[in-house]
Amino acid sequence: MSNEIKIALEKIDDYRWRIPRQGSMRTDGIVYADDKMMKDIEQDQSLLQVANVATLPGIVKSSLAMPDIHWGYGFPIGGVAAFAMDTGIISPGGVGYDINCGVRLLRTSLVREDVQGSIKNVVTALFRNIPSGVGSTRKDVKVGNRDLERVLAEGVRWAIKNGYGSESDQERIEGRGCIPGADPEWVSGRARERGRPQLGTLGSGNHFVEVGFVDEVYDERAARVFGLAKDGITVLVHTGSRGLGHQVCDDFITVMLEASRRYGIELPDKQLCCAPINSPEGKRYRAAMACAANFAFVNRQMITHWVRESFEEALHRGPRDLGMEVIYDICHNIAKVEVHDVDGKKQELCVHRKGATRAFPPGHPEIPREYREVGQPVLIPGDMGRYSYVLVGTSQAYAETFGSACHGAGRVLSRHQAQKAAKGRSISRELEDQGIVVSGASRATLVEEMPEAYKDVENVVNVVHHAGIGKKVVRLRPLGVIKG
Amino acid sequence: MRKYRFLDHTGDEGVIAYGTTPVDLFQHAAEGFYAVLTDSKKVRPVVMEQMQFKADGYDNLLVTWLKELLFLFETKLFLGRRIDVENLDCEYLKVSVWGETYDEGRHSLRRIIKAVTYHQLTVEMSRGRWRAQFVLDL
Repeated sequence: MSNEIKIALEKIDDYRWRIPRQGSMRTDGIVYADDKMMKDIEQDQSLLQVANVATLPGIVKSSLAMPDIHWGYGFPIGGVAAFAMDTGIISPGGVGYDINCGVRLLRTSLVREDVQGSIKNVVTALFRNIPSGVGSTRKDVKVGNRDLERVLAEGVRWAIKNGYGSESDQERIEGRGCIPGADPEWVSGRARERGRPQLGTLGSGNHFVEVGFVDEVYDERAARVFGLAKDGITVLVHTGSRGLGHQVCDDFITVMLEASRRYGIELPDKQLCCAPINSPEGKRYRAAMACAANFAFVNRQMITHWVRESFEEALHRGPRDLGMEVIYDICHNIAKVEVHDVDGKKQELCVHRKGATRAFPPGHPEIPREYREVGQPVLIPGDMGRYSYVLVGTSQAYAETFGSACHGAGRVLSRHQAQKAAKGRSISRELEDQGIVVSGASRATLVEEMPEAYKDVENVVNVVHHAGIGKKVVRLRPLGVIKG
Repeated sequence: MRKYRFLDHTGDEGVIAYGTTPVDLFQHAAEGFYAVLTDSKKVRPVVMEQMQFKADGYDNLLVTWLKELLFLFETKLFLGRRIDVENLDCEYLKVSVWGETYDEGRHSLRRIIKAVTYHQLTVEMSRGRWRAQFVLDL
């Protein structure tokens, strides 16, 4: 890719831009952003990546990008693309290395004053109970080969059978915590070896467990349905499939480089390598990707269990008193087979969401029964100093974006720029002064993950809200964070 | 001559390594890889991991090897310090990596690498100098 390539861009309205079909593009690109964001987006090569995705066989409607779009490998982060099952492709680059990286939100019956003065204890207990950082594991978790096999095939069902949480948790997870078609046979020995010791661990970098509170309510009805109210204490868990998912992606990039050649798929960028959805390579990737996604669901389920235990320990309260329930758990790096309306007809498609969140509308059968009148919760984490958001999916998203919205803030500073900006400062002290306790992170992680290294998630969420592809429900503010 | 430098990517880390021969290019590339992960000065070369690879071209050979170094770190917490390239041509690499197991008390970890990618991957020789570029997903 060359830095000189200039992508043609037409403004559709205040929040939508079109990259008109040109060259080998099979369709247009559509980007959701306002004027100010577009200036930043144009700085990197992500618009070219939206155009590149539009060249892939079998793409349906447009190649889409959410307002948190930034440069990724092959597909941009924040990209959404759907492919026809008979003529389309599936691509590991359209999912990303961290397969089923995602977010889970828990509610509690606690309010802010219940944790005042004890937030440090809560964070300490979380850090003690949830393995985070390199090589960290719990002594009481031993995952044998047979267990791993079932984790990969069954997802969250395995976790619940083994005492991590309850049936009601499962109802509130995207796809009920198990992506269909998972076949462990296609998960390599190397992926298993990397993944086995990492089941039930948080990881490092931008992954976290965050205790927060509801700071603002925008949609009373939806908030009530989700069990959220002003000042209520919440917990966000952000992690994925760890080394297992990274290795599955890596293994299949090698497979797909070869497959693209064999099937005569022209690639403007090697990292877009792919295979027809129903080819042997395509089917194997789907089966292995589903396994990695299931691993990630189990990971978040085990961490949820230890979050509950940590609150009980730190606050000396029982589970009934704490009322910690899963509100929802969503993937933001995944490819799924879904049915959508295309030109007035229902069609099965393989929807790739890479750094994008499913946002299904009210009434959709895929969302939990109790949420059906308001829509699917969409969880958007921000940086650790500012805020995160809960939105709901809309019928407009279903019509325009295959039921998808944004996934987060996106970095604005590179890691080196962040290091420079933080010279001579204590980021943990700065956060503490804002009333946010941070535990576990090395100085390097803390600096690289500091609030100003990220875009303000509010701007991203506002574009989604005003464009109508998601609707704001509440804003959460952090009180305590553990990082790897 | 500089052994390697970092490329400033927003979300990831690019490494450019230099060498007068393919052998020291590969050594410097691995040193750059480990420098992303840790402060290599604190790693002692006490354990040896020997490995060999076949691949099509220096670029694929380099990525295949770096992927193995990442795998060794993730599964054995092995950090390399000294790289002894025993055999190298554009299709074959035999190398011994001397290092030790990561010890929380003695080693610092800078960044965790998720994957070695093919993005903007190049290995080339120009004006008598070898240059390799690779991007790590963090």
